[in-house]
Amino acid sequence: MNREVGRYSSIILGRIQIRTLPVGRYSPPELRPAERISIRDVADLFTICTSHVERNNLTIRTFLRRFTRLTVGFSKKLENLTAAVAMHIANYNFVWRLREKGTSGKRLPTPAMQAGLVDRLWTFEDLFEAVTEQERERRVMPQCSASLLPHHQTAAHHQQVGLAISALDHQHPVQPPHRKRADLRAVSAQCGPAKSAIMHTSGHRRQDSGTHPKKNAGCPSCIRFTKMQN
Amino acid sequence: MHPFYENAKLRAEQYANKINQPLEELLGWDCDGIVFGTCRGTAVKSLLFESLYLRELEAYTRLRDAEITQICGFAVPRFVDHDDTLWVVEMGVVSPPCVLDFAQSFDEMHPSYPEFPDYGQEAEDAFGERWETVREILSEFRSIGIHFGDPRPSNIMFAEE
Repeated sequence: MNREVGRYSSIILGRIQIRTLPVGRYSPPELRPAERISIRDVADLFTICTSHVERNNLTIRTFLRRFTRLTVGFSKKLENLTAAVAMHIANYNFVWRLREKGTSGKRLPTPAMQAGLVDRLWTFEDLFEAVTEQERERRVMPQCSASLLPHHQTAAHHQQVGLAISALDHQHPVQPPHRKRADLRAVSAQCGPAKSAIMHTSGHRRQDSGTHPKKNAGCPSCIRFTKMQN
Repeated sequence: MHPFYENAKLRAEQYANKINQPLEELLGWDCDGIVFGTCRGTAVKSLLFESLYLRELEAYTRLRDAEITQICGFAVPRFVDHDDTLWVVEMGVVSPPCVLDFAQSFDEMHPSYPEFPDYGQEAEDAFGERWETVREILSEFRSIGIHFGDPRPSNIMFAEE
């Protein structure tokens, strides 16, 4: 198969900032001659340029909120950032259909199809289903050996505590942007008790011992909860 | 044409050489494959993946065996020939109203054959008020064990009014 996937090259740009002219913050520096190196399967060295990677950067910065510059849309945790990036890249490769070059505007098969990974177009529901299915399979083993885990690491503990931190941090980053309203309702119903738990702990409104099991000294959430109560 | 289709085009040309019928103009291309016209008034469709080829072939075989040339007044292409090694299906050329493209279809023996057809709101919106007619066509296909997988206006073409 003649596919463009897998071509790889490198370009080393010699840039130098000359400050004889008034330059702004984003002014491009003077460009010196570049060194082009074909690492794999690039016959024409003059096709090696930074345009492709810059196009990729622009796509990421445009469509992935966490990479939008000069905004507060950043991730507070590395795992949230990882999840967001993974979701975007998977969506780009399996669902997103690029358009043909030129003015035809015709949509091409997805990159995953072009790489021969899948033989049909995926919808976001397909992607979401594939990921959740894999995650479900991955979780089978830890659930079987849950009794071996410390109390504060078990899913049962977090369910008992009803911690919003856990729910919000782990569920919201994987929310697909275009999920159906019914699905979102289901998720919000799932997160409902957790959100109220946050309000409860941070707002000092009332103490409901029924929502919390016996305290566990090793659990940061329990520590926080205990501090709030004290 | 995108370089991704070069391989499919090459296979179509090999098939054309095999049947001694040079390819004519490009009739279309999509996520399933690429279609060329031939000198003998047929269309040669070169599929991108073997799975798509097998589905298309199965659907056309069923239609041919059932001697179906049209469904609900919509013409169905006549199955002419195929090549298992080149993943090519040759069929007759039809004009609207017609139904095309069975590469995304499932036959009833396929493990993914859906119990209840659900084409989604998007497909319904694409046809608008013609959706009822489309549903009849899809039901007819289902009655012969074919789940038409890709109902779009470019695949189920209505006559110009």
